Amino acid sequence: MKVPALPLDGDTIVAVSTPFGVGGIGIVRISGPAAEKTAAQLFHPKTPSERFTSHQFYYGHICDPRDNSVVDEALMVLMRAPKTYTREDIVEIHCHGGALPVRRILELVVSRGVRPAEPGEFTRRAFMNGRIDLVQAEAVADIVEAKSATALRFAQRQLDGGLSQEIRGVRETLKDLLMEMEAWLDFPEEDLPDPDFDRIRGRIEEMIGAVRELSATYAEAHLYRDGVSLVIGGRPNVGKSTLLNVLVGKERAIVSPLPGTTRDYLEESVVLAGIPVRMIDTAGLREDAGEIEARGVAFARRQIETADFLLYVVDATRLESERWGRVADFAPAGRTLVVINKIDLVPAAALESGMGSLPPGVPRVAVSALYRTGIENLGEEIERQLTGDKLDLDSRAVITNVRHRQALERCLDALERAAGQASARPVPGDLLAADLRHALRALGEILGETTPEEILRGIFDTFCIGK
Amino acid sequence: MGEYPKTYEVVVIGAGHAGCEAALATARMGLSTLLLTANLDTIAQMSCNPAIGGLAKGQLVREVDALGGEMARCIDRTGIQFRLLNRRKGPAVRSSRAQADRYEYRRYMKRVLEEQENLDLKQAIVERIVAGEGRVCGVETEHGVYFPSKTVIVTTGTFLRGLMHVGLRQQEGGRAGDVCVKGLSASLESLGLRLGRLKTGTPPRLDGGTIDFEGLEPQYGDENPRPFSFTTREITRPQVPCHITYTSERTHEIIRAGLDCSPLYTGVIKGTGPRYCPSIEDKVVRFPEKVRHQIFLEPESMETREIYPNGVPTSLSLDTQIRFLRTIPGLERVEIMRPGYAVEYDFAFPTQLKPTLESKQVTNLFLAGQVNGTSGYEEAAAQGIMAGINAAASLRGEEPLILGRSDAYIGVLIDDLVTHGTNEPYRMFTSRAEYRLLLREDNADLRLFEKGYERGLLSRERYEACARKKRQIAAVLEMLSERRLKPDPPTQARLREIGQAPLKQPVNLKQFLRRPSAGVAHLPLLGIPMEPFDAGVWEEVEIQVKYESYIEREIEEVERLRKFENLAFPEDMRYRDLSGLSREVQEKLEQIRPVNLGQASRISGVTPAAIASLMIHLKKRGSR
Repeated sequence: MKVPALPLDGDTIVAVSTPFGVGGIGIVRISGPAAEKTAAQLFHPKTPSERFTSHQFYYGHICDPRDNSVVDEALMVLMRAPKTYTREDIVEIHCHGGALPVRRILELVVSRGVRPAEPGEFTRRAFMNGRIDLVQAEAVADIVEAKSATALRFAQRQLDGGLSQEIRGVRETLKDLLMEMEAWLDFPEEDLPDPDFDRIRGRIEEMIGAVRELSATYAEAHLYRDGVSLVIGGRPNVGKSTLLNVLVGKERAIVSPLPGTTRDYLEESVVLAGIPVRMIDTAGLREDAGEIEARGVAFARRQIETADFLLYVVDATRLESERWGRVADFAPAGRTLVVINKIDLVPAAALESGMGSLPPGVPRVAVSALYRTGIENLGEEIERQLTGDKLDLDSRAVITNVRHRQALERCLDALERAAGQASARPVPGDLLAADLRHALRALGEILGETTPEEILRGIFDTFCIGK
Repeated sequence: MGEYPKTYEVVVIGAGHAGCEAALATARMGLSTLLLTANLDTIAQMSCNPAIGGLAKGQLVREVDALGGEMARCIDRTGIQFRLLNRRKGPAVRSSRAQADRYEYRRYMKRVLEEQENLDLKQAIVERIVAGEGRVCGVETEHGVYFPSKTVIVTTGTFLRGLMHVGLRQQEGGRAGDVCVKGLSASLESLGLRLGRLKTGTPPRLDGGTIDFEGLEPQYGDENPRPFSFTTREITRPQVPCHITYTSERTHEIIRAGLDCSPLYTGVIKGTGPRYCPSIEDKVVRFPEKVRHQIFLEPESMETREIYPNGVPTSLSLDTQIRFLRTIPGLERVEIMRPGYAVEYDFAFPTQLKPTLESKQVTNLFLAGQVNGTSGYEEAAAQGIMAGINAAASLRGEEPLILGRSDAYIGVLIDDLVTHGTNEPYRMFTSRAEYRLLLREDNADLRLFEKGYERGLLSRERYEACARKKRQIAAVLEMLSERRLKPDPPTQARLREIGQAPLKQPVNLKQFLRRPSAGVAHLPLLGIPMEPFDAGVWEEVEIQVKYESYIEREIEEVERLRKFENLAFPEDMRYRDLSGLSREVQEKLEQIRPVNLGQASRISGVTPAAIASLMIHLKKRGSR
């Protein structure tokens, strides 16, 4: 059954409406009857208000209702129907453009029972609700088609390799068990042995373990999924742009797998250790800047603050003049790597002593961007810092798509119920089979459905049926 | 003789299980109906095994009954061994099965037909269906008689160009001893219907007097047989046992040696046979590791010694048949009374039908039963009654009755046929139903009685009884959620008496019933009398309480998808002109011409994105 992916209207949907790598803000858009309720649960305005006024921006924070921790500061606007794009209630949450805050907000919204939108669904809804002219119907149909095709290609790519292998493995086990169950239920008068339910429960528990593990990789895998923003900061003329060029040049052969990545002289996207990295060069940080430059500096500081990772570049010849205390104010702890550039200009001994002025414990790499010495080392260090010891893409499958994640969670729920039914005596066969079917159907959302005909074919191939 | 002086509203061709239900339905709805059969002595004949019901089939029979059909009542009066299968595997997969006295069965059905008002029963072979301007106007028989008719229902089973095989010898005919119908195939083709070829088989019939039943394992029916029909109070006919025996390695050797005379293995048979009902030679070849195959020896009737050996359908040569049978315990001296054989026959690809079972090509031409590529008496009866109901609806300009996949197995059956078609004889299995927990035998009446009554097939009295049952179930459920058990000493003591764990906190009776070991039978002991409600009400209550969360999950799913079922396509939709659909999807939609978005979504290859596009186009048309 192709049930879950059918275009349902009337429920509430959510999507990130700014593509990765574009702009400094991210927008999470929710549409449908539960939009306002969801916003009220997650968004805490700075100035508390009884009821949000439509079409007005509020400043505040997005908090995780489970522990009330702040996820990000954000602007929220509620637009009540019908004067909205979809003619439904719409909530937009404008947050920091780093991939992490956007993704976390999206997950929070989904955890409140809001469904991730199908490709082109906002546009389709706008049309279905009469917001878009009928003349444009064809165009809308084409948009939906095109977006679905892109999304499909994309999802397919995410499924390449280890991940689909693992899910396929679970699906095969599920099919086997379901075949055994259905044969037992549909052919009671055949000379078939009763299923060994202890063994079946064991296999269900194995699947629970595997699916749970896969689902958990979603949380860890945000780096691979969304990439990270890496800001190159530092005082003027320490060699930031040169470093960017060197880093990008080194990796230029590797193309970013993400669509919509803008490339200009300020930003470059590369892939390091399988992680899409958006590198942002910033204006030099100086305190005696003129008015125009000061604005650039302020912007740079904001970028540094919201970045996932900071390369703080210093000039090896002027190490003593760095005011580390001030750097520590804005450099995100644990996400900063100090790059000592221009080591070609200082003797090794001087460098050694200069390094002593760095605060202890801060990871550092010495390079010469100009002569490309130490760059290899820097790349490795960045990769190490980004991935830590969390993930090794080559050896493990990771879930990177929120939809896939949802499907796995549904599969997990069904498997847990199935394990319970398999322990009952006598086993309620119809319920156990219903749970296995649900689990299989959930995986079908990732890998394509399994039809009853496939199960029957399996039965006839495996068992000698024919009273 | 020329034109018959009476114009019928309905002519049904064929008086098998589909034809009988179709003709009874239209006659009962007040339409003048003519039922034509090639042989008045084989009405409702059980061509293969003498049994009704089985997994999923039992549900079909009860659904036909709930709509006002005859099959359930017929087997209740003529059954000689009743069993409820899967008693312990859960209510959704519980199904009734009964051995029938095949002679009594067909006599009963013939009598019902004869006594039915508005129904004429005649023996004649139809040679041609006459149509003009895409609409049927009557049928022409072998005797040259033309019966004018406003609608025609074709229920010809395996008789179209039927060809029987025993070994390498062939004989024309749709069933041993019966005729072959040739003209009708060509007539259907000339009306634009595409025909295919299928195959099925049946075992030899044995002389029970030459079987040594001593030492064979008997299989008895249930002590308190449960009737199929909701209107039958009890089963009164004496019950008889079947017997179980097995093939041996020696049997398999003989079968293997006889394959050179097998029409299946020498390529003589071209039609596709059913995978779930393979011939014994198929089983031996495909599962060589299996050392024995089970055989049920089923009595055919109380009036004959003939025995039906269920499990050994075959088209091997008669010589091989007798030799392999005699290697089977109990059959050492057996005599074959009728040989086993395979039969090939024409069927019409069912994707040419609307969900009403009306042909897409020819208005008021309906097809039902095995001619649509199904197998099984129950599948046939289910289509028969639906074709009858929809023929009547068409004549009267009423809304057709299309059952959904969540309403009935009948809905699953017809939707599968008209949406996916079939390449082998299609049989119902419970695994085909995605809402299996909803489609139970026990609630068939509750699911369908309103529809049966609306169509005029259920009496007012029967409608009232069902409505009362429905109200009572609701009342008991409410009572159970209101009445509470408290962990006071007398309650705990009573629980201990009935072997139940004591309570830790107050619970309502619903919660108590959800304990795996608890049941409604415990309620009287806890001070809740069963009266005044009957067992049917309590059975339903117990299932609904115990399965509540699962049932709710399925109902939610049904509700979620209802919107798609309600979005109907205009009949003149031109799928090839629609943008946003791939060529492949356009072709599929043109071929199937789904009635609504729900059906469209079930066509293989139609993607969710295509459904989204279709919604947009529907909206555009609707707003014009």
